[in-house]
Amino acid sequence: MNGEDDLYKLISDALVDLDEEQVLTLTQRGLEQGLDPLEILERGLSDGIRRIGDSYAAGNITLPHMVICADIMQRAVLILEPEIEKSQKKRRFKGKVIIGTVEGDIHDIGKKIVATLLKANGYEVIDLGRDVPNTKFVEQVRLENPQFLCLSALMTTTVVNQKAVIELLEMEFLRDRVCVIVGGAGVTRERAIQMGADGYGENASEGVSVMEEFLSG
Amino acid sequence: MRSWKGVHFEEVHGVPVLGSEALQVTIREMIACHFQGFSINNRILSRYSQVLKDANRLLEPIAGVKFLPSHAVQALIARTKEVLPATWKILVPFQRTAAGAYLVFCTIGPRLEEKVRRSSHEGEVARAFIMDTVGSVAVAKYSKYINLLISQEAAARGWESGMPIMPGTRGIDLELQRILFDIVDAKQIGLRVTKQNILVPLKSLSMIIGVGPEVTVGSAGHDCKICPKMNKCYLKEIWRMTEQSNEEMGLNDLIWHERDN
Repeated sequence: MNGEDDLYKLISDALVDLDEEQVLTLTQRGLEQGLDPLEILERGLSDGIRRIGDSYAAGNITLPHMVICADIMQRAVLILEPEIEKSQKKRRFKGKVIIGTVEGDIHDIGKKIVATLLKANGYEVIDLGRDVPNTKFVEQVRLENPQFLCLSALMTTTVVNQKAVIELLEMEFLRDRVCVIVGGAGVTRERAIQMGADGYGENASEGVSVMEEFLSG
Repeated sequence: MRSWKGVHFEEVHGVPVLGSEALQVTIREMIACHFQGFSINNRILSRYSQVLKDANRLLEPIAGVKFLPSHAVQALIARTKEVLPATWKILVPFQRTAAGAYLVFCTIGPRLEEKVRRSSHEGEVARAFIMDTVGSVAVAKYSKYINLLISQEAAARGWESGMPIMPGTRGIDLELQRILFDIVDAKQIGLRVTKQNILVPLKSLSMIIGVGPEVTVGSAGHDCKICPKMNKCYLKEIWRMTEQSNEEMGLNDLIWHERDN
């Protein structure tokens, strides 16, 4: 193992240990040593978040642990982003995701957690916010052509708008262009199937796993 | 204004209002919510402690309470028959057994929520998430506290108090919230209800607590067992803890002891 590999491993380990100070310091050090910011991202930070994801899947850690980890990673990515831009290399994303809380629902934090986990796992995320009009989701699908559309609804009274968005996509002949994943406390797996969603995430982490499954075919 | 141990009680535009400066969420409750059965490292603990310290300062619990005598309860139930038939079926046992009911709206106020929004907007998602959970625990704990006050009040009359009925749970339509909102005039404690019947601030809730000599209001099931959010609710652990002991929850410090004053 050479010095670069050591640094990547240290970053990955620090992330797994939730040592924010160390993650940020080492990320900065990597840039100062002239390392490729995309390599730092992929071999250091992404490696760490993958390990944390595996640990969660094995039932060894909880979702809040993973959220803290993803949050730390996002801070480190902020350090890397200007350098990635300067290097004129394109960051390779696994897929493009549009996410938002449906019309009438003003809850935000659950959706934000999903967005954070998605970003940490290598997705390009367009977060439309909360109380998003049904028509705006459709417009954005047409405009951005994402692989995934994630619709969050916390209240049973707003779940109807997840269905309404799916119906609007059908009316606009856009339904086949995008995988619709629904989640939030107001919706169940059964309701997700009934409304015609392609996938359902019981929690933020499962939402990410569902997308990984779709991508792996 | 009347004042009890850590509790203020006053009328605001005719609405009896309860407030408490003593409501605090503990690190133990947060760990129970997020890490039950898991080991946590010092970094997590120190992160939670720091956020909790900030969040507790932003709690502004306040509740609007209205007592409905038996005839008013009957009128309320009759009103639900046509507009909310499913809810009406659950409320019917009230009619036979409750001598009255307390309608309660409680909130922890807007400050914590504003902070959550700001943190989330600034990309501090973990912090926002922890603070948001503090808010959920705080409002659950506060409602439990109000429940205890009402139980004591009922016991003083030789009555029992029933399981709280909350709009949005156990087959109770969320729409009931708007009807109750108008009866209690909950805007007087800074609440509003959206078109979708969501209370704002979000960390707020409403409940009906029946009281009477032999109140039976648990016909729809007991607590979490039939709640539609049962599988996703991390507050279950908090409820379990409160059932174990009020002392563990720090509720004994909050309970109103009239004879102290």
